[in-house]
Amino acid sequence: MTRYTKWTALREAAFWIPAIAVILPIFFLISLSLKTPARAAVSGVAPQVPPTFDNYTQAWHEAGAGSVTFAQALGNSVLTSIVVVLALVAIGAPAGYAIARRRSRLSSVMFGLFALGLILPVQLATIPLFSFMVRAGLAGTRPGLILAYVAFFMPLTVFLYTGFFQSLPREYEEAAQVDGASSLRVFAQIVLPLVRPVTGTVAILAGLFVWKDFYTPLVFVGGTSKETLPVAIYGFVGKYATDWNLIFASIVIALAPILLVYVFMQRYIIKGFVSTVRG
Amino acid sequence: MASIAVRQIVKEYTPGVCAVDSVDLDIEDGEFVVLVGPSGCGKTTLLRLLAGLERPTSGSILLGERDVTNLAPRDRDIAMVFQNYALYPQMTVAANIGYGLKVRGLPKQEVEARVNDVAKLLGLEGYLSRRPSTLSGGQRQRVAMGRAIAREPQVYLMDEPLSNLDAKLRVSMRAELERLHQRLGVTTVYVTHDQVEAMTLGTRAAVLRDGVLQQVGTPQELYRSPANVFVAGFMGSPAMNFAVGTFDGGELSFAGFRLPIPEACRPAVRDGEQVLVGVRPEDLLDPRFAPADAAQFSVPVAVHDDVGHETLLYFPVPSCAGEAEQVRRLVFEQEQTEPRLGQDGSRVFCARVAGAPAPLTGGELSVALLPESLAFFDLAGGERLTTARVLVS
Repeated sequence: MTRYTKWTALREAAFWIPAIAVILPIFFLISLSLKTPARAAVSGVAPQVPPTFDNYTQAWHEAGAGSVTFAQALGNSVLTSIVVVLALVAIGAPAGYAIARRRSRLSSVMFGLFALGLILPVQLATIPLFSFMVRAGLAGTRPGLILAYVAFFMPLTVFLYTGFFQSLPREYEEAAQVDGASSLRVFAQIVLPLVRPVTGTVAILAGLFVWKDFYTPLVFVGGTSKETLPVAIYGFVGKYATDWNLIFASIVIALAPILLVYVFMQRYIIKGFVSTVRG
Repeated sequence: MASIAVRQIVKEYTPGVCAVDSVDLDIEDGEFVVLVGPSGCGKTTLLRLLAGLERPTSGSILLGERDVTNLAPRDRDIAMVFQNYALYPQMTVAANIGYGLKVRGLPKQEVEARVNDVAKLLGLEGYLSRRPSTLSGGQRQRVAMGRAIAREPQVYLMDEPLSNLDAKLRVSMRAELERLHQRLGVTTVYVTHDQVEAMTLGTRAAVLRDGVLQQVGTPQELYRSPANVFVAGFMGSPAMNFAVGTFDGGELSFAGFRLPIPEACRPAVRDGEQVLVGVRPEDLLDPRFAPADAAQFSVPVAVHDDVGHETLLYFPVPSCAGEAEQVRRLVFEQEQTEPRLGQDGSRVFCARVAGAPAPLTGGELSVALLPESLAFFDLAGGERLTTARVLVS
């Protein structure tokens, strides 16, 4: 049994200090979202008892400075996140599989290109991409925004899938081929279920990124009815310059779905980096 | 069920480097043939060519009357058991066994019925709802076998399926494999590096080295009439003893022995010409039980291993300059050293006697040798040299 010494106490204190630094802003966020403006002006620290949920109701129903209601922005965020994740998996998984399994110069070149996409900052592509979107009639549209996200996140997706497929023993696929499965069936029924951890990782990382991203929707759909939550909340900042209660309430509403999904998907993130396959 | 014909099969992964080099092999319908050889000899590559998992560089493969050379694995009607079993981890045992049937469109009830029959045959009834990760090695091996059996293919291909099992389990699974083959009678090609498995399992065995087929025959043919020095050295454990010998008149000198060789047992070599002489450990006899006309010699025993039912005796033998290198070049793989070398680099022979040997006298023991138990090989290429006795037999 470990003795509790002064060094143990010092170590605990060392862990608590950064923990408090992380928890404190969240405490203030929730605390202020549950206060009336009057109480918030009096004290920013002590929670209001009883708390009030009027800020949430008001934030939900009030339109921001932009072109969307909060509910519309929430719907845009959900839809964009889901479609982007599905598109990434639908395109990235077969791409990673092809690169991992086809040993050719083309595969190496393709992988190199995707790796380059990891290194180059997305912001470099903003102006030419926006110009292209305008010419293609996609600027300000949801498909345009989704395409932009898929393009930005595809390098990491392919990188993750390729690495995982390369580590997968070929015998599973060969056994399935001998059993009579076609290439498509081998991929869908044998290989894809084995890379669930990577799919989970891609889903959570891409979903999180899209959900909280401010820059891309601001550039490509800002000022339209396709705005996502971060841009919509920014619109509230303009309208309620000092009414932080509504802003914080809207942030808490925006956090809630992603936290729920993360709670259920987090084990796949860990598995995606350290999992092995047994069988 | 079907016969297999392999015609001049070549597989090159890189130009000029043959993994399988012009192999011709005929396997009869219902036969159990073992492909055996050291690591890297091409046996697994040949098996994968039969399965369609590799495309040959040239040559053809016939399954029955069908040319399957360019057919995909799914179109060849074969089933394969992999070395690491390759069970689908995300499926239950029942789903694993039934996957090939489901893929081929069999009705659900029939799939279920066949899975249950196979499970009963292999003692897997209690494991059908479990996943492979919860099974032991032996159980996984049986599930892999079950997956192959359920398909009812024309040919079974097995790639060292017992190599991941412990020694005791390997022996029992070997017996089970034999029983299954006798019961099902399906043409089977079995790959192993274990020459004991090759001797016990197959009706015939094919020995490969560096992609080249050395000899095909029954286990006894390979053991008693090896075609060359590699087959002679590979088959049998402990391995055959080799030494460079010279004929002088009617006598042969090798490894410190000198004994008369009748004409019937002598190969067509001139006096003074060197040959490679091979003698199996069990042919170095205990004089108490040897025929009266056997030549007897006294040898200094360095090590004796009593394994219960027999004793292995290791004794150093004199060798001439370069002899060890000559033997190593002909018998062993390029990167191998001769396993039986004394600490001072001297060559060591092994004798195998039943039970306990006669007591040592001054560290020396008598062994007896019959000339007809000797095998002779050409020093240049390693081919077996025929004698009148070999021609007759």
